[in-house]
Amino acid sequence: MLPIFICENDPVQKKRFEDIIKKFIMIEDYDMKIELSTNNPYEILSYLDNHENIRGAYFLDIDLGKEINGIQLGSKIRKKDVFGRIIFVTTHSELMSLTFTYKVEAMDYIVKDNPEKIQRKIQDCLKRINDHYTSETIQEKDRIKLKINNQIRVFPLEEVLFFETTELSHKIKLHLINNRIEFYGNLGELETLSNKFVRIHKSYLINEDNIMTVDPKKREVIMVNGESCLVSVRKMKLLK
Amino acid sequence: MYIAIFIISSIVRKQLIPFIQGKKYEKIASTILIGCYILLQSLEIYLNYFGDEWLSVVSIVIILAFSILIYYVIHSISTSQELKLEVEKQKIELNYMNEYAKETTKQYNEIRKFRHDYINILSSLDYFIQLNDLEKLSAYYEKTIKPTQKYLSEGIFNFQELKNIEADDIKSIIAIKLLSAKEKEVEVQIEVPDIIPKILPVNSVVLIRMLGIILDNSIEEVADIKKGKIEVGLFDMENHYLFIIKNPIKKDILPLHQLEIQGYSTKGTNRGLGLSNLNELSNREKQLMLETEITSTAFIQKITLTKEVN
Repeated sequence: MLPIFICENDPVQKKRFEDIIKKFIMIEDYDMKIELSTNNPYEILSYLDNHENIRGAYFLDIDLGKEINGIQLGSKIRKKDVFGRIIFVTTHSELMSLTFTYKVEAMDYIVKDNPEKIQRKIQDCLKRINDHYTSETIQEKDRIKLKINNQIRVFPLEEVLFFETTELSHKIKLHLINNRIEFYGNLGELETLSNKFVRIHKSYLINEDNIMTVDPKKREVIMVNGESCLVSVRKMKLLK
Repeated sequence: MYIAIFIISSIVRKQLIPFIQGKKYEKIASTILIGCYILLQSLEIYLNYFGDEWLSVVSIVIILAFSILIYYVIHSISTSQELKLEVEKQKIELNYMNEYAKETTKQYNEIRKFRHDYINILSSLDYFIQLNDLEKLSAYYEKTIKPTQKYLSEGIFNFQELKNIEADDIKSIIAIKLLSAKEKEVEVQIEVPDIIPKILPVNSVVLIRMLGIILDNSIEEVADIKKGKIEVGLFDMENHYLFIIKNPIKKDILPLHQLEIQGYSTKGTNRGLGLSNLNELSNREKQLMLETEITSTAFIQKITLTKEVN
């Protein structure tokens, strides 16, 4: 049972959210329930302090009329429920989409403009939460987890091209299809993350599924996106 | 013999020298080399002039004096280089600070002007009300007062979003880029919910240059596609600081690694150069991590500053 939490200052709005959520859960027969609906942010925090391993969904108003606002509440919740789904409810003037997405890692935000849209958006969020809750869509072996800046980040293996070292020791650069990420690590440890990873050079660890061609003359591997990696003489044999 | 010298020298040139420069070991390396030189020479003197005391003492003194001279030359060169870098850094900072100061003064004058206008407006209103001329009053409102609303909400006075940034260098680079965005009619939304302190774990010139490149690229892109807005976020994430710049992109943007190729450009602009410069700058800073992402609709760049080295 996935617990849902609502924190909304305005009683009319709060009631409306409850109704929309309750009705939709019932119609779709989701394994969820509204655990707590309140105008007091501290009630949610103390609930989380008293219950262990909660993985919930949180609908938080930004303007709570208390010492803390919705964003601060969201940050506090995030510390107690790392995998929780946070959805902010906001007006246009309070819209801070980068803060929502990157600071609190909110799943989404709902702008309070017209009632019909609010309902659609809430239903959409619940549906996405449910999809995720019932089926872990990507299997464990098809993805890797990396700790980057104290956050666990998950990448589908099919998007991982290669890792390379940089001029600075322990600074590794990960090349994904549409992304470059620098982080602390070492290739030796990363190699153990998947049996698809091959160390072809002291500076390169590649995902063998994403090789396009191998150029033995230049001693290079060309990846599916056209980027090339060096291969050491000894490892050349491995690739043939 | 010559072949051996050639091979060794090419190894030294390609491998050893970049290694020494990369790790900033120049001083240690030169000291070791001088030491070896003295040792070798002393050995030779000892072998050649053994017995002739006077000659050997003179040669040793000459060699020692020579070595000390060389050491001081190397030392002073490297110190002057460091000094030069420091001066360059301060120059850049000063430049930004000056521009920022100029802009604040300009804004202050705008506010004064506005206050002056405001008092005039009030007295005219007063006049029309006393006359009880509703028609003139409403005409005056439409013509004179209503436009000021636009003036205010467009936020010429607004560096308010930057108040949480205590690092003057970062504040000024963002302020300057904001103004240049405004000139090109590009909208920028800024979110700084946390305090960004004065002292950050990074060389500020590197950080400012990186922010400058990223913001320039974004402004150019959005000015080009003429819709959407740039989003800038600066956050304190407890273990690190996170700076994000996000902008919408054209539909037919090239894959990331092609944009990264040095000097590559879509329109005679410098995005490619910018991206390869960014990588190079990032390679100078241990606690700075760069992340670049292209989604179907946006270009997102993140700079992470780790508070402590782990």
